[in-house]
This record gives sequence, C-alpha cells and structure tokens, in this order.
Amino acid sequence: MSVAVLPVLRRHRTPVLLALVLLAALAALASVVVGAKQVPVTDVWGALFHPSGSEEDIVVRSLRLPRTGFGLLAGVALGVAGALAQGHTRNPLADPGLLGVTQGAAFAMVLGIFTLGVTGLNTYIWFGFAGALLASLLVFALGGAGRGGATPLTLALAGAAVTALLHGLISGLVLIDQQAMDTYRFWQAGALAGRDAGLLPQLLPFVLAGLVLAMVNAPGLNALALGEDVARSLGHRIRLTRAIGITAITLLTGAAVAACGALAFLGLIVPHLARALSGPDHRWLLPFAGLLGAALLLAADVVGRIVARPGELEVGIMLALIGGPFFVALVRRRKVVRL
Amino acid sequence: MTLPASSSTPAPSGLAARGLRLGYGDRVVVDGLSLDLSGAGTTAIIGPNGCGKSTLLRGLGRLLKPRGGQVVLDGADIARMPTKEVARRMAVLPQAPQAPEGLTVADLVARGRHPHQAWYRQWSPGDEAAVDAALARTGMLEHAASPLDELSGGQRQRVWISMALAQDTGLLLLDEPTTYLDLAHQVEVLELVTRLQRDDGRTVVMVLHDLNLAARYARRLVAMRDGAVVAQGAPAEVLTEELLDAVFGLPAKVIEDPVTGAPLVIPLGSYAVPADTAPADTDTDTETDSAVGAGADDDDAGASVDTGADEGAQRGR
Repeated sequence: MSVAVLPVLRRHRTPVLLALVLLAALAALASVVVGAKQVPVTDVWGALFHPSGSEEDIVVRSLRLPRTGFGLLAGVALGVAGALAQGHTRNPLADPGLLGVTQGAAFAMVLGIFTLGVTGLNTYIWFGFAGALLASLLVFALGGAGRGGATPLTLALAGAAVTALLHGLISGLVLIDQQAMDTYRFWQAGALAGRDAGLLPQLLPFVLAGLVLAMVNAPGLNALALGEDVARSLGHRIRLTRAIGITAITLLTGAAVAACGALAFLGLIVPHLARALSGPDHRWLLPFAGLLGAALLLAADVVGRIVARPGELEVGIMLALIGGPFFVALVRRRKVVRL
Repeated sequence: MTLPASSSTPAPSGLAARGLRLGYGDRVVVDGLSLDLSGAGTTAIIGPNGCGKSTLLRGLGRLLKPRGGQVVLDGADIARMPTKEVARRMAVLPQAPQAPEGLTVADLVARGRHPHQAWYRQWSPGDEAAVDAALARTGMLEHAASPLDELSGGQRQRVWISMALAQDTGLLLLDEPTTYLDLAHQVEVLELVTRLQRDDGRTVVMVLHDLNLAARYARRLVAMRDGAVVAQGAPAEVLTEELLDAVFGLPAKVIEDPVTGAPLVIPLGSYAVPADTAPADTDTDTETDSAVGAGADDDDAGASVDTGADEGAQRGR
C-alpha cells in the first residue's frame, strides 16, 4: 500500500510549533528585561540564577518574574479557551467570555468587596474564580433546560443573558461602593502587574487541568466541525465532548480573568491568528493558540511599559489598542474564516 | 480490538427497524414503522417531501433517538451498543454535510478512522492504509492534498463517501447523496455507490429524490408516505402508475427504460409543451394565467410553471 496521504497529514507544522515556542520565550525574556528600570540582560541572568540581593535582583525577581508568569498563564489559558469557544460554537466571533465566565468573576469580586469588605488582591482573586465557575454552571443549567438539551446556540443565549444580568448587578453595586468601583475599574481593564507570585502555583493546577482537557477535546472538536450528525455517525459522544469543552473553557478562563482581569480581545483574536498557521485541525490549533496567546499578551505588556514612560499603560488597554485595528485588518484581508 | 484486513470486503450486515417511532419536538414523524433491510444490495427509500424518509434514515443511523421501538443491527439493539461499536459496522452520511474552510481531503477522510482509534492509539499504519484505499476507491487519491472547498460538488461528494469508506463498515447509509449535483455528477456518484455495493459486498441504504435514478440503481425500493411504508420490493413492482398517484399524487405514465429495462416515470402535466409545437402558440394565451396559478399550488407541476412564465414574458415584449 502506498503512503500517498502521509505527507499531506504531516505537513510542516512541527517547525511552526517550535517557532511559536521560541516566539513566546522571546516575549517572556523581553518581559523580564524591559521596564522602567534598565537592567542589562547579563544582570537579569545573574538575578535569575545567582541572586545577590541587589536592587536589580529585587526588581527582576519580585516584580518582573511574577508579572511574566501571570502573562504566560493568562495568555496560554485565554488563547486556548478562545479556540475552544470558537470551535464548539462554530462561531468566529465567540470568545472565552461566552459562557458568562468573565462577568461571573467580576460580579463575585465586586460582591465580595461590597458585602465582606474583602480588600487583598489574593482574596478576591479566589472570589473571582469561584464566581467564574458558578456562572458557567448557571449558564450550562439554563442552556440545557430546554427540550433539546444544551446546544451551542442555547448556551450562547444563556451566556448572553447571564452576562447582561450580572453586568447590571455589577453596575448597581459599584455605584454604591466606591472601593468596589475602583477595584472593578482596574480589573475590567486587565493587568499583569502587582499580583502576588504565590498565587501562580495555586492557579497553575487549574490551568494545567484545563489544558489537558482541551487537548483531550481536540479530536471531538474536529468531528463537531463537520456537524453533529457526522460526529455522531463517526462514533463521537456529543454530550461528553461538549461537557469536556465547557469544563476546559471554564477552568482556563476562570483562572485567567480572576487573576489578570477581563483582557478583552485576546481570546477573540488569537484563535484566528493560530488558525491561519495551523489550518482547521484542533490538535494543532489549540497549542498554537496557547503559544500565540502568551506571546501576544506579554508583548502587549512590554509595549505598554515603553510607550507611556515613565508611567505604564495597562496591558488590557494595550491589547485593545493593538488588537482592535489588527482585528479589523484581519477581517478585511480575508473574510472571517467559516467554521 | 482487531482491525479487519484493510477495507477490502466487509461482511454484509443486517439492519432492521421494529415498531420504530421517531419525531422532533411535539411532532411524531414516523410511528410504528417496521422494515427489514438485511442482506447485501442497494435499497432506495423514496417518497414525497416531508414523508419522513430522511427522518427514518436518521433513526436507522442512530442520529435520532427513537421515541419507541428499536433499530436492530446484526441482532442487537443499536441504542444499547457503544456508539463507536456502531460506527465500526455502519457509516452514515447526512445530507449535504459541511466542512470547515481549508480542510484538506486527506484530513477529512482521516477523521473517518475515529471508530478504530483509542486515546492510547491515535494513528496507525492500518489507519493510513484505510485512508489510502478509500481515496483510491473513489478516484480521489490525487486530490489528497487539496482543500475541500477547491473541489467541484461531485468530487466533494466522492470525498465524503471516502470518509465513510475509511470507517470500513459493511453498511452504508446515505441521505440524498446526489443533492445539489447536476445529472452527470448524480450518475457518477450512484455508479460509485453501486460499485461499492456490488464489488465490495456492502449493504447500501439511501434516500433518493429522483425516482428514475432510484429505479435504475437500487435493487429494492421502499416507498413512504406520511411516515409509513406504503410499498416495498423490486423497482418494477413498486413504481407503478397507481402507486405514483397514491404516494406522490402525481399522474404519470410508467414505461420501460430503454437502456436498463427498469421502470421509467414520465410525469403527465396539462401544460407540458409538445415537442413539435412552435413556442408562440396563440391558443395557449388564454390559459397562461391559470397555468401560473396552478403552478403556485402544486410543486410537481414544475414544467407547466416554466411554460407559463416563458409565454407570459414573450407576450409582454
């Protein structure tokens, strides 16, 4: 038997994957090196591996490293979650906030501040994460309540309804509570700086679990892209595939937005970029989206430190500034890909 | 799990419906239908729009969960079999399936191997050989690297059939495999399906719209109306003038196909233009309006609608 189909199935996607790993690594390096305080690369190396307690060492180790870590975590998570959301809904405009996760996180934080007077970032991040999970469960329950069960359409509608409701409640709460207002405003824009490094290892297991579920979901998503009937006839279990996908989106988005804020655009743009490189195969698209998400988020964060010296622009604002026109260009260059 | 030696000759399968009840929402489309589709051969399900033939095929292919009764595959209730196990015995191709943009032929056909894969064994030389063989069988091997959206409609349908073939099943269910194809491509696809049935010993069940093609390519016809089987058997037994009137409400003449000897349906219409008359006939002028009116009422009188519209346009000039 000839192997005529082999080259087609294994086109040069591995080199692209390696290039993306390199790109993300470079963005991470830039994030450690570039900042208000000039630290030469050699000193960064020293700070990482032979810390001497100098001022540079402290800046690198306690400020820039955690910041880079959160960038990697949130970038990978939102990139993958965006690709999952678009794949499950077959909607090119879907984003990780589709299931009400983002507003769920925001509402829980604001509520925590308002009712319990929660102040520390470390505490209300957990409120946010819990809120994200609860909102997703609520959306899933509402979306699955009809006779047809949970379909991408009913989930998107339930997500929109829950998002609108929570948004209204948040608006009411922040009008009453000044502290909640301030926290919410900064969270809404999205930022990587100022987070406690100790949170990283606590959030990491959730993100890792989400990533594993996402990769397990890839073959099922590939089949769902051919329509539910074809997927079912190929022996895929549709409900299980959907449940795994929704769990992955919730874990990834919940952890990312609770820690770093809404970060609009990232989960919407990145899957389109990744798809241009990977084609429609989710086994490649998902890792590509994760790496591109990290690279783009860190790059936006670095640029935000440069453009407004001596101050900084928050990464969420940078993302919108870069991402908005970029997305328009993408849509203009080639029509948004049909999923 | 052992693989059958590539996709050569799967055993013919037994498929039957027993007291099957199918529907969507509050609407019951098929109620208490029993049908035996066992044995090698090609069965075509025919019937007017909305008679439930596609619903029946979806039920047989477990794409639609029965409200009652059961579908029996090789002696077992399909609802109680693991869906992957069913997919190793039966391939179902829905009507006009869609693929994401940029998907290549080989990638699509490779997805047909899912029933033979497990999380610990994603892609094997056996999968590779099956994809290769499926594409060779449909003559699409040379297009393996092409994106699906660059192919013609007929080629695309052959690729979808290749995906079903890569599943390596003894049973093939096709829902209107000729939809949106011109006559030449319809014949091409049905010739291919016949080869798959005849040379490989597969059992093929398909829903077909075109009665003459159904009569020509199927060994057995199942005629449906209002969710029930009205007649079944050899095309010559089923496709009679009485049945066409009863099932489709279509006055028609049935003659013998000069090429194959199968029944050939000639619809009778009041306003069909005889071949030897000149296009502008003053006598028909008075009847033009009523022809258009009749056309709007009855889909099947398509020929008379066209005639009426053409003549109306000519008169207007």
